Amino acid sequence: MLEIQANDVGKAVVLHVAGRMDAETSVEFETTCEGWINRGAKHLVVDLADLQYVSSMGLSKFLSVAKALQPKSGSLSLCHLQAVPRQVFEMTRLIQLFPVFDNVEAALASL
Amino acid sequence: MDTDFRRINLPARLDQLGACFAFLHQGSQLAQFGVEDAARLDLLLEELFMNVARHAYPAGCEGSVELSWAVPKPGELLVQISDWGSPFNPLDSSPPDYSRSLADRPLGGMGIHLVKTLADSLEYEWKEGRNLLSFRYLAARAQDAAG
Repeated sequence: MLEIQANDVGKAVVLHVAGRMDAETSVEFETTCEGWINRGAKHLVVDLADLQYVSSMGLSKFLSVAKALQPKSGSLSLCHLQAVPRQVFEMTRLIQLFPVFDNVEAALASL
Repeated sequence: MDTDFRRINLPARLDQLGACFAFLHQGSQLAQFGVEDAARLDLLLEELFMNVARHAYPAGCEGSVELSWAVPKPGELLVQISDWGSPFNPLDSSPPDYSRSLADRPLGGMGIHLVKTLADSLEYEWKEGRNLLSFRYLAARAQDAAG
């Protein structure tokens, strides 16, 4: 199960993602992000404090969204990356490809 | 605890992923895994199951996958996953190129790398007309105790 709550704060859209991003649920994340990008959002800040699990399919969705934002000079920032999801990002070296922050406030301040 | 395997046979389809997890969680609980070890184990299974679901059988042909697990002792789980597709060793793939930038990084190729990193031992064989992949997962606490 994956739950996503989005909040447009002007300079960015903050997405709070909770639950598990696996091969079945991760499509919802991509679709949600694409919707915001199509409405003009350039910066997405993802709060992962309550993300319990991410598989390679989930990683591919993060990559896909970041690639979509890059030509627009946008960004996909990750916050509260912790526990097993953090290990997965580290094992695949994807953590080096994203702006990573301890919290949403720090991510927003960087924009 | 014993090494008798519990088995389940499922269609090799994305919508069976939840059933895979539910079956594996029985083993995680019996092996007394904590939350993080159980999550890492789920990850191992998902990557291998999805590899079968996506690649083992021709398009339009519904195949099956057999999952089995055994708990030799607390903190340890043995898992086997097999399919009846064409001979294919998923462990033969090359590791991802970590030097690539965001724009050049491919979307795929990370699953098997995660499997190789997370499993404590990993073995593939083509046996009696099926692909059989076996792995052993040792919980973090058990790894620390072993030194």
